[in-house]
Amino acid sequence: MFDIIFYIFGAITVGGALVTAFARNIVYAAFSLLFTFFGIAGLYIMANADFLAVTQLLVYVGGILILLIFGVMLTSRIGTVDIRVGTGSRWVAGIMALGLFAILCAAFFGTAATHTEKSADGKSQVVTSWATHATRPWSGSKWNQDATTEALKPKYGAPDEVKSNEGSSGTSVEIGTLFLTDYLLPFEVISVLILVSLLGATMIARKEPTKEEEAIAESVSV
Amino acid sequence: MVVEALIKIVIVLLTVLTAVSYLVLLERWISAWLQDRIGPNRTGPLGLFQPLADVLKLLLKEDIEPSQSEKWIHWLAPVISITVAFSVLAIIPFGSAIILSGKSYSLAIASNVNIGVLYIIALTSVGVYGITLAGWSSGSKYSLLGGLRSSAQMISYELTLGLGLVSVVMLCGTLDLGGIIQSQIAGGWNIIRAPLGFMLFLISSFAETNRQPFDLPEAEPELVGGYHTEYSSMKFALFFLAEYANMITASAVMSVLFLGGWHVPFLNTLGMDPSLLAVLGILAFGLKIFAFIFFFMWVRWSIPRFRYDQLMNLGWKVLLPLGIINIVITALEKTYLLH
Amino acid sequence: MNPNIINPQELAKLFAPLVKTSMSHFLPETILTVGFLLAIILDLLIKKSSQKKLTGYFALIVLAAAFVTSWMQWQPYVEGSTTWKGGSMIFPYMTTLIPQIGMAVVDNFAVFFKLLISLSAMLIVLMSMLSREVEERGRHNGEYFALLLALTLGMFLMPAATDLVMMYISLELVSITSYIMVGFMKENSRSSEASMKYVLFGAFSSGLMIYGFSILYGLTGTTSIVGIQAVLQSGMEAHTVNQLALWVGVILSLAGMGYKISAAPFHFWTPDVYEGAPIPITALLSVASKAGGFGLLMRFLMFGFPVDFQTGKLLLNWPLVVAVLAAVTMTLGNFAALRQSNIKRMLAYSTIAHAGYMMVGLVAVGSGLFMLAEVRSVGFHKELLPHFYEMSGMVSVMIYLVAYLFTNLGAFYVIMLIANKIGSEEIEDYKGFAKKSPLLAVSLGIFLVSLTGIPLTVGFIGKLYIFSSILTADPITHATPWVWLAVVMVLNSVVSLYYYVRVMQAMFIKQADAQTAPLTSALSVGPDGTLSYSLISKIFIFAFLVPTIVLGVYFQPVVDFTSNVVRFFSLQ
Repeated sequence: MFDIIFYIFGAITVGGALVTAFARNIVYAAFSLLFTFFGIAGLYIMANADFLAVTQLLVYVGGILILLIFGVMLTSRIGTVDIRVGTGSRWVAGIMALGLFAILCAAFFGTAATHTEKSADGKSQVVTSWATHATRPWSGSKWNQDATTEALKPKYGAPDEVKSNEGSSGTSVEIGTLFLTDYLLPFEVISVLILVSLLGATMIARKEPTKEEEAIAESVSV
Repeated sequence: MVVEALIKIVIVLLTVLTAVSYLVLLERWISAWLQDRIGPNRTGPLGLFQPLADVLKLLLKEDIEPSQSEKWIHWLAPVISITVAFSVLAIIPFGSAIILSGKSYSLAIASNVNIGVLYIIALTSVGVYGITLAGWSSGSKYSLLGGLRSSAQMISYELTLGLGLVSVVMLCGTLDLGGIIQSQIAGGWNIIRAPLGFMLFLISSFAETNRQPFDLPEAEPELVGGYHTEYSSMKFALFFLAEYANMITASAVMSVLFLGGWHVPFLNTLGMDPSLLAVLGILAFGLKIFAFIFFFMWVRWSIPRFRYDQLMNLGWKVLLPLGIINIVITALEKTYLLH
Repeated sequence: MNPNIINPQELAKLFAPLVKTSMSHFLPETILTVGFLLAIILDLLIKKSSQKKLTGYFALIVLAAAFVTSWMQWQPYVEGSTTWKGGSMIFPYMTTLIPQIGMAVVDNFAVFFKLLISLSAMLIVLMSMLSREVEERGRHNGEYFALLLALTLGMFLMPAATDLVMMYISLELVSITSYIMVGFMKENSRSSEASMKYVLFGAFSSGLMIYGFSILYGLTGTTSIVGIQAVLQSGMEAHTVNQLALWVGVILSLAGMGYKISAAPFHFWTPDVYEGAPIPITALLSVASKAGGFGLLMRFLMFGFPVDFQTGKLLLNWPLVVAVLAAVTMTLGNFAALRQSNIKRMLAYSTIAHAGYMMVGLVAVGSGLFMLAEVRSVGFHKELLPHFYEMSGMVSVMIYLVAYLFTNLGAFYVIMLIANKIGSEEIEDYKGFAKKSPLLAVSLGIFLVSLTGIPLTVGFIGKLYIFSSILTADPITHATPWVWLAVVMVLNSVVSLYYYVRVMQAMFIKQADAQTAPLTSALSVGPDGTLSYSLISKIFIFAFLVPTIVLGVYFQPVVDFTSNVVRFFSLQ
């Protein structure tokens, strides 16, 4: 059951992406992206990342894609424009993409997933499993995290056990806590980044007043 | 588990669909009452079979597809609208858990959703697509203008909606709707704790459901019918359905977030039977939803429509700053008053 | 109430001391952030567009404060000291991992870059106030200087970041601000085009980088580069790390950083952006942004993938990749510069070539680490240490950056002054310029000579140190593996001489003819046919000219200073 749902979401994601890449009509390309985003959100939920899934919907579906569609709608006759590039470079691109895909596959199947397991006597040990015969990577186990802590122990000592979120299902509490502790600095710098983007967007997109309008504005405000 | 969920889904959908058809009748009655008319009273006793007749009429009408339309998207747009409208219902707790033969059943299709509030905002943002795409795919300028207006309006007011929600989340400390109700039972309804947040949420709900005075996407005098000008028959019915379903979900969400959901103050002090309490709770919830819906309709038939620039000014220059101020107020209140 | 929800008061009490110490080490960045916000407010308060320049003075004060506070973070190395730690981690992982590692670090390495960046930002602010292009957009000068502060903040964070998340965000802060600044003259279609191209290339390469980061995170389970190094080391021993996946991750990550320093396959944006952007911004991008990029790159490679101290082997043979990229970068840059007729485009290609030279120093960093490993494996010979520090590639890259700062900024400044008057950046229009303004022509000549790397200028010192670092034989094996790279570099320097000299030929030897651009303003020409410049703009030339010449002769302070830098956190 779980597997079937996973593959359904996977198919939606990949199918949407394929339509986006190959559609002749830019509107269909933009619109099928909606399905890709939905599929990805579904996959996130299957990986127990509920907060991420909803944020994905909010940001990509509610924000970015609607702007894309907005742009498409405001451009007249854009639906008739063939957006694909010439066929010659398509073959080259295809071969390169396949090559990259092969490399990534090789990298994926050659990578070990490690996680800690409690053995019968209560001691934790690092278990390594290879992707080729690994259990589902989407089954929501905290994959490398514990193993990483184990690996860092010899050099830096055991981490301070400040608190544990045992028992709380879902990730929103954990993410919220991390934003204000471990990732405080990036979190705050992002706010500067967003302010910069806002400022820049208004500076670039705003209509420039003519000289007379400017003069009037100055005389009024003084 | 799955069977239980399916049964709940069927019950909720049937209830809401019936409610929607009678809401149309109610709306016509209220409009008649406000305009000193009689309203529909011919079909069946007191006009109670009117919804049935309406549905039959819509089903039997010819489905006209404009020649300039994008067939696929034209067909898909109403489906998106209605799906989104119903999806929100999945996490609404309609009452406290009831105990039947020793087993506890929660009265929400999906209970204890950790990210309930975010789920609502996410779905609201998806809801824009139905109207926008309907407007675009019809191949008519009136529809396109309606679609554009709707997306601009909904995106703008989504911000205020979210900011209004933030105060609730701050006060209750959880995103789970059940948890929000529990917190209100313990600490008082949010309408008292965050009145400004409630106002913001209420106003943006009007905008998000495209109801008067924010019904610019379908403003008849300017845009004929807005985004659904080119829709007919069952597809039109779906949009109609979605609008009323949206009204129900918005009312339900507001009841949960600000009016304590199924909670009735002081009722549990009377020492009543728990199952009776649960039933009373469901009834109270229904009553709250009805009150909101009545308010929606009341406003629709008494207040004129905004001009477009007024709408945008209100959203960006008044409500958004108020929303941010509200967060500060709530933070101060939470830090100094409630501890 | 849900019992799983942690009480915020309790949480705050736990982490307050950690945040407090971190903030005390975060003063320069805090000043920049507050300055950025205040500049926006100041811009709102000033109504007249002719007075918006006041924000420029404000930005200057903020940058000076950031410079001074960065200076105070400098920790001179005390020989044989046991308490000297090399630096301190700030914003550590408070909940999940090990408290000794965190988001960013304050060490001499980071401080060096902060000083370099804030100094060049100050010079850029002064340059902007003299620029006609910036003045023409007077209404937006407030935003201009505010964004400049945000840009500096991003560049401050780049070399200090020790976490992939922080690295990415600081890089994006710099990138996004740069996109806006490049398109500052939006009525000018070239400026808009440059901005658009910058956005497209930037988005693509930062997409590649974040993908690479995700692979690194997937392989190691941590975003801290110190953590990545530790996990990889233990993973290598246990043979659980897939080399191929690691290579894919690292090379994709290099894409984003290579883009910032305009290294070979990611350099396409450089000429168009440099040509279209306002000249002060071009100068900033070519110096400060590149310095930040190099800081980030060095931190990433040296903290993330250093040698294994036990076996003396590199975790990953990245010097080879960097060497190939360096050779391609400088050759491409120099040969493309030969055919340019616009001086800004020519300097753009020349900066690509200079990025190549600096990458040669980076290769030496890798080999320097080889040496360090052998120092550690054969035992700690104290007499080897100064040799290592002074000859290591780090020092050479930093000296080069200092040299490049004054020389390149100076060159751009003079070009800006010329463009202010003749409204052109074509080399053709420079014909006979020595007659119109001898001071400008001579100083531009000196800057170009320094860029070529001819003795008695600071550019020569930079190149000299890069050469010596790359040709330094391994003290144990006496092998010099990078001779071929040094040969490529020498040949490239010869090629570069040609196009630098072409500008000087136009200025000094050729005569102005009918095709030469006329002056935009007849008033600015003096009675004897020379161009008149304000006293301030003339004096300001010496801010670049004096260091270019003085440091070319008396360079020991720079060497001492930078040698102190390489004794940094975790590799002390």
